[in-house]
Amino acid sequence: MRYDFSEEQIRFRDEARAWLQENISEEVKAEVEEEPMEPQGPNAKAFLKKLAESGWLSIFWPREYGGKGLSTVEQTIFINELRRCGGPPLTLTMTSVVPTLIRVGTEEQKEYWMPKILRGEAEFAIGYSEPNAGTDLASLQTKAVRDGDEYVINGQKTWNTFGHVCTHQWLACRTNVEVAKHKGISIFIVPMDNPGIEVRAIECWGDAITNEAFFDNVRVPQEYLIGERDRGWEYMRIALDFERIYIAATGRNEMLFENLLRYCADTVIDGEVLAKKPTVRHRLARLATELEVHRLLGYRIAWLIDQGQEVTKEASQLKVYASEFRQRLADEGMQLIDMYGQLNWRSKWAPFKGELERAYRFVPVEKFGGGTNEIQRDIIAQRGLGLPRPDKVIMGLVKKWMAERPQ
Amino acid sequence: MDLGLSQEQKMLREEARKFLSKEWNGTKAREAAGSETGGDQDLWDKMVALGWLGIIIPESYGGLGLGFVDLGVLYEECGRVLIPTSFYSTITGALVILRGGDEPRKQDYLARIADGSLRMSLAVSEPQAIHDPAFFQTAAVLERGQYTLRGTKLFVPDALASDKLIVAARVSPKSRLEGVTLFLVEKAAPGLEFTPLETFGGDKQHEIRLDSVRVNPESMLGAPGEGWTVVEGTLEQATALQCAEMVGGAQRVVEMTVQYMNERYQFDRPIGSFQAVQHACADMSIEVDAARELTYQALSRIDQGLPAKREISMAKAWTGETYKRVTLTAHHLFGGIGFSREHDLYLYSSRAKSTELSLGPSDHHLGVVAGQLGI
Repeated sequence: MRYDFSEEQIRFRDEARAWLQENISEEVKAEVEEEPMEPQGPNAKAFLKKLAESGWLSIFWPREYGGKGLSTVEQTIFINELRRCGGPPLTLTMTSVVPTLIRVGTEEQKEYWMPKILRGEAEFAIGYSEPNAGTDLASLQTKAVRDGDEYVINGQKTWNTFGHVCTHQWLACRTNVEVAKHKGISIFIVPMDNPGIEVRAIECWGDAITNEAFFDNVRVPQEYLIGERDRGWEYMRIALDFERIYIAATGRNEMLFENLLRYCADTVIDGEVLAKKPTVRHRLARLATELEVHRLLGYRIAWLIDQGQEVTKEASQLKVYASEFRQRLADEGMQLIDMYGQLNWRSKWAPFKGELERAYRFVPVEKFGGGTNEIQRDIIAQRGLGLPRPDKVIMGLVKKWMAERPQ
Repeated sequence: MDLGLSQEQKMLREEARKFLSKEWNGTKAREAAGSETGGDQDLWDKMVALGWLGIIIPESYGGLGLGFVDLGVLYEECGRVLIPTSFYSTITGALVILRGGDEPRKQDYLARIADGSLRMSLAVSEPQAIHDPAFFQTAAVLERGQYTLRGTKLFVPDALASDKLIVAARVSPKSRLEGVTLFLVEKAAPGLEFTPLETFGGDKQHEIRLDSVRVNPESMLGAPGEGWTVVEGTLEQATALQCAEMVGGAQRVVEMTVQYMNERYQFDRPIGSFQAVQHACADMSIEVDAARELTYQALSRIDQGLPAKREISMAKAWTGETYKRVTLTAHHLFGGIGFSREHDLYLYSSRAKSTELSLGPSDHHLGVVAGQLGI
């Protein structure tokens, strides 16, 4: 057992850090600050392209798809470094679609899509949620109907983040209405240049943009149905496990905490360095401990994946913990910097570029996105700890009551 | 990075669990707590036979020469069933000797600890000083070739169960910052007076009055004035180990709770099917899993010889809160049955509070963490 990195891992981290520091220009950082979640500026885009061309994005892919098969622990190290160096976040394409495609796609699909993704020619928006299918995702109604060699898609998606900038949708559609609702869903890849797609922006509190997306008789070839028909629910669960893991990447919290720490150590208010105040020190020590927990839960998952273990419980634990910790970090950080905490990130007076206030406004989505924290706690309790599923219990009760009903 | 236990460690865990589930339970824990020393000779002898007292002691001194992670695995299992605490106290004594003893002392004492014939305890805290050596008042004065110890030690764990005590006393009472020295004192030495403390956890802690206790200069452990360095380092290690014990206890409470939530029916259904109950259990599992990661990180760093002060204090700050919170949540979920003394739950709740406070409560360790932040 060892919790620190091996010499090889340290070498890998240093190499990644050196490359990132050299290639993330001030312009890239500025664009990431402008749009932290989905930077669309030319420099950030060019950087991501270079990242892919230099092989940094695919080194974790299996060798047969052009990768080097590095471990998930190394991937986590890399993602954390990328965020620490002020680089753009990896998109859900890299963090959720790719690992799912590798696991569930057909050989032809992998051979077709993986190089396209690597060249930046396929960037996905995730199309799961609908106006009437949020937490109850299996109720989704967008339909894909077979017509010759094609499927015809009709329906509406919402909270379609990246929908306004993506090239493709990773779309969950109902393909079978004859079976239980979670057994009749399939996953499609839908190119955005197909006729019949309309995207409308929704502006959010955290300065992010998400979208509604409408599909009106959109036709895709049958090969664009990923894996097997009607197994989409299963695939979404895999994809969501990965999404949860990356929602929870530690790097940006490390960066945020370090900025907060440095600010408290360097700033004098009312004649005293902030970090000398016992209450400030106490809060900082508590946050440091909580950050350490976040880091450990993150690496534990990566390590378990590398051991070939299922991590559904752990992914849900991490997602709950990381989102709630980030909220505490943003909230308490704003209190630590007193009146400065309220300044918008555009203000010249905002300490470390208003990262805290932006995190505070964005973090609610991390608690309800990717499956609400309530659903995560259900998963931990039922699939992790073996407590009963309430719906099954109630079904049993209904049967019993029906049987006992006076005739 | 390798976050898993080795094959040998997994085997040790399995064997320990099997052995302890056969040899120890809540009823025995209650009986032991009712005795004067809090111990159980039969369990002690069997643990000695398994080599547990010598796990951390090098082979050259009659031990097994294993590491802190191995010992942590064992503490975790012991924490699950609440064994008598003299096991922990004696191992702390062994750690002091390992760190501060000279070669003959190590040869002699470590072998006797490993073979179970010597039990020890470390007497550090005083009425007016718990963590800061500058305020220790117990004095050791050299008079006619012998040291005379005078003072009062408080919260000495398992003092009556021990054969020997390691007492921290100041040889140069004029200076506040130096002079803390360790002495090995026979429990039976004239002038020692033991008063048991009534404690929350029901474990056996004592007030010890040293009323002109005379010891030979050979009883000094290590050099004069070097006692605190030894104590500080040892207490850090003991803290990491205690965290493992606490993780074991907390994990056991989670398991007991989940089991009962599956068994207890109200409204014709197991109460564990209610979301309010499930979410409380989910939160417990997150906190306990996190405590385990923090704890084994600290233990493995000790094994690797890496700096671990920060990691140990993080582990203790988190684990102390966690063990306690888990037992309190369990009390709520169990309801009346868990409130009854017939149920084992209160044994864990008592131990949780007791371990939260001993070796530094959360605030103390957050203070240490703050000191490690470089601010």
